[in-house]
Amino acid sequence: MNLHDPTWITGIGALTSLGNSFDLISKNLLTGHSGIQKIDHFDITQHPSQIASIVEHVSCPEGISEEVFLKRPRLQQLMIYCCVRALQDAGYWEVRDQLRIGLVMGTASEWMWFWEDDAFGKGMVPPCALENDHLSIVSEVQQALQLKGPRLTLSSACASGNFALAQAKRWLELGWVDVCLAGGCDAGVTPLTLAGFGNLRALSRQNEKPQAASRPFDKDRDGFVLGEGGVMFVLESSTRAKKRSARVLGEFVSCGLSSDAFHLVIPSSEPTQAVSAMRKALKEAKINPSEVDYINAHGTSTPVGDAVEAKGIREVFGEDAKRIPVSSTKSMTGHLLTAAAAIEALACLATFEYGAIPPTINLDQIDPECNLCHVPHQSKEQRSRVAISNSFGFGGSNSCAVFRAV
Amino acid sequence: MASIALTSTRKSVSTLVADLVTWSRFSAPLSDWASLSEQLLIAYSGRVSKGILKQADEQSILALLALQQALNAGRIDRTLIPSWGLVSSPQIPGRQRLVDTFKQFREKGAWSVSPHIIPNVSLHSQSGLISQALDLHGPNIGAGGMPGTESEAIFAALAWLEGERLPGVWVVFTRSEPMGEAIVLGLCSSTNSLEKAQLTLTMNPAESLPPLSIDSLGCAIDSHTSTEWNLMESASLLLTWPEGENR
Repeated sequence: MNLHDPTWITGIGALTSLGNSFDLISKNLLTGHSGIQKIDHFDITQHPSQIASIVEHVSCPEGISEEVFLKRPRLQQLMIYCCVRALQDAGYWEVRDQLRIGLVMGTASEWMWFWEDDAFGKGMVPPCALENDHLSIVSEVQQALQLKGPRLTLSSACASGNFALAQAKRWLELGWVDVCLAGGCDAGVTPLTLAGFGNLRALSRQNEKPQAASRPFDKDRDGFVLGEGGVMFVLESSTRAKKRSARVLGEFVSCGLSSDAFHLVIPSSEPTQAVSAMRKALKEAKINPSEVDYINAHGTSTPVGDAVEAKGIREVFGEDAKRIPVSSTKSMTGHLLTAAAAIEALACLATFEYGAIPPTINLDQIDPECNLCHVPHQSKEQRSRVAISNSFGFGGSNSCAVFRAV
Repeated sequence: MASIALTSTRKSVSTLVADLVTWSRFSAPLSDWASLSEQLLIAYSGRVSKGILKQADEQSILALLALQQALNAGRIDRTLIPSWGLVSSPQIPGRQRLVDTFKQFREKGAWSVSPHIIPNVSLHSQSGLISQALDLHGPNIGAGGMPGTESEAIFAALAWLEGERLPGVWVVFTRSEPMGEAIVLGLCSSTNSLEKAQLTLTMNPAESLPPLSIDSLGCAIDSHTSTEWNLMESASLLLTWPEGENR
């Protein structure tokens, strides 16, 4: 294990409702722009929640055959787009065949998207038929990009992006790969997902004001807003990045991981394991809580989850929680499910690049149970050196990622 | 534009060894899963309820049964289990349930979709349920999810074992077709003991070897045969048994 060579992020490929590049998404986050809108690509009349942040179109990235790309399922297109753009951004696209490039993708239930296409598509294929099973999407992506290295599809639900980054870091430290692509992609704005989460009463029903519906930590929050998109990062050792004079977006320092072992859907009312994840992350990073400059909260806008997270942050940071800025970018992006942690990692890197903290929009009246040093409505100018990102998921998975400016 | 260094800058951990401290294989026709789930109420008493098991995917039920066998084999220190990690690798869970869901959706609309579908048939559902049943506070993930992705769970588990300093990692493979099957491996960092079964990952691809699959892993476990597999043209994985147990 080489634990002394920091892991740096040197490329980003992203496609979300807020844009298709690090710069564009960052600027939209920092100007408090919401990507949430009324769903208009399928019938929503029976759905309790009718709003989402949507990726309108996935274009074929340069270097990929458009003819083949257009025939691929949408989730696969999204993954290919993000991976190609990340490798291009890092300067690795043209030389990818000369390296062992790992691929760690946070995504869940790829088979459900295929089946749903079959079920609600043109009716030519019966859904869920054994004979129509596909290869794993990530293996298809790996083949399409001609990558040579280990791959992994993983899911820890809404924490998947952080878990993917943590795996990639270990693969680099173990020397299993020279470079690793890691992040998350989700194309979850579909009739089944909207109905499933809607009937679970997890989604906001503020359908008349889509851009005001996601209101993390606000007194009037009533659930999360479904979202979709993808963000993939290129990770490599600092030694390699320095040697090739790469542009560095930040260091991925550590990630604390834990499980509630409490319930498949509901977070524990005591944030013991969320606290454990935050403390593990800071301990591995050798960073004191007082050194943290920004906390990107999981902050989904659900009544229970936000209050428990705020309690956990206060427990870990003590008096420092009164001055460390906290925001939830889900107020603008919606909840990208298995890609949520990845876009929130991007938000942390944006604070280094642009010297400002993104806001929590729609935070009109802070819920007293969620008392923290919030950044409501507008971004806050502040140079950050250390940013952390909390992401928790169904199945009780907790994660806290630590990023540092380079 | 940045110039590219093509040589590896980190020394590769070319060989990584883990002790296989416990294991089990459980198979049953899926028609039996409802009655089998009754056994779990006793085995995981207080941790999982009848209501939870009723909503669980059948592959998760099989996984819990196989885990119970592995725990009962008595080869591990149970006090350390809460800190173990878990990598669960179901293969396309929820097929029949989703056939019914899509049918109902078409006939009755969005309100007919059960709120239990997404929490119970996603890639992470099985690992979430197992972590609850075993009271695991180490990390849990679902890995792979499709046939032919068994290697992915091994990479994930060994990376955790080496990098996260966990006392152990459970690796669980399940599938529904052609019949219900679950394999559980309990892995710990190597003690270099010749008396332990071991998994050895070598980062040298060996293309002549067969790929890792539930079938071949099950055979190797049942027969205690030392076996070697190819992992994604990136590595090879060797399962060895202690002297006297190897056949």
